[in-house]
Amino acid sequence: MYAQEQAPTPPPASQAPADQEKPRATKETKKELQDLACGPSDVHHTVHTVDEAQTLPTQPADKALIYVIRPTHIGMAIQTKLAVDGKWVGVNKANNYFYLTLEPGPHYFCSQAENHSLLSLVVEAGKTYYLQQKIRAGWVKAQTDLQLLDDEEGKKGLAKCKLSVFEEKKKD
Amino acid sequence: MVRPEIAMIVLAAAIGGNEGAVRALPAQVAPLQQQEAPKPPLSGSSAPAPSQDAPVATPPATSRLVLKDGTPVQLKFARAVVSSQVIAGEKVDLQVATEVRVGDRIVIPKDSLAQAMVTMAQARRGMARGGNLQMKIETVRLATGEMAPLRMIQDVKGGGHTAAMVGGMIATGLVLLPAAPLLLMVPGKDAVVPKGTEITAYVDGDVSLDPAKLPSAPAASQPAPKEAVPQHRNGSK
Repeated sequence: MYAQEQAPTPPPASQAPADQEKPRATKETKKELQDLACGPSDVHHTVHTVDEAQTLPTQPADKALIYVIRPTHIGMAIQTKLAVDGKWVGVNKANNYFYLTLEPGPHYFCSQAENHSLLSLVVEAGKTYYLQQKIRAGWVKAQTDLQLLDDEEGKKGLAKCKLSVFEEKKKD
Repeated sequence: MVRPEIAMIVLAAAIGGNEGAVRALPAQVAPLQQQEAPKPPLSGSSAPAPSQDAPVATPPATSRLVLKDGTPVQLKFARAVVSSQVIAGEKVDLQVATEVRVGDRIVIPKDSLAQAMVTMAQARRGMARGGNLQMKIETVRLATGEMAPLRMIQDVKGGGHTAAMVGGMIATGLVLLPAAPLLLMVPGKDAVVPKGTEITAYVDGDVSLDPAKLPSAPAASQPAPKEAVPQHRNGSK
């Protein structure tokens, strides 16, 4: 096998800027990631919990499976929304989860409560990822902190949660 | 065959302040080989004829050098990487810290370019929680100009001081209650890989090189540097 043939194919193009020579400032990076990750701020959602036990989805071979969990009672009434690549994809309340599948490559996550918690992650096909929306006391209402869990922690947390279903509130 | 995810060598770097400490997993050493490749067809002009006055150490043009799977490559970061200043998917440049040889031929020159990709980045957060940074070392440029794949994942966590913050809140609350919530603003530390941090990645799969494309062999009077030997984790190969 020759070196040229052996070289791996480049990862899917990132939406991140190409200029790698000068590292961006922290503020600039945060703003950029927030623009890439978070959904529109004028969209509001309703969420309810499905009480019946749900069958978990099968892991697709060509996509990454992402569980977003919130396995605590803290801040029961506070919604924690999650956006991926600029689109709201789910909302949790206490002891809720939802899931989604993503194409392999880089993706940008934004968890929102009183604050925004941002995370960028390259996902691989056929893998399962667990993201926890942690809840902490904030200034006015609860704050969220998005955290990537390992498989063991993720499965443990998921077992405590019930599926959430969300809907976009209609504007008058 | 080793599954790629198992084959990844995971290093954990403990960050204290801005210092990054890297430790490698123990490795099993296997002998390096120079492998004879099939001879090219006699006809055609692409195969260079062996030179009559070439040094004895130079392998014949018809044989191929093999950079074995698991050969360690010492790399250093060309710039600091800070978890709050990168986004997953971005490329990070590294340089080869020590040349790699097969026999007496330099196959990866010192200062050659290597690349890593940021696979996870999270800035430091409020409430004293640290940042997170994961990178996957991907490729290195060979002396022939071709790219060879490398394997390794580096995982760096920024320092948090949640316990100190909680302690501070309790202590402050006892003295001056309204001041306690201000400690929520105490930030953690970003995960940082300082510029110049050295790490070891490993060649991923055997890489065959055409000796004719390599720089000429060093003079016989020069001391021969230590030859690279491939390393495999836990004898998994």
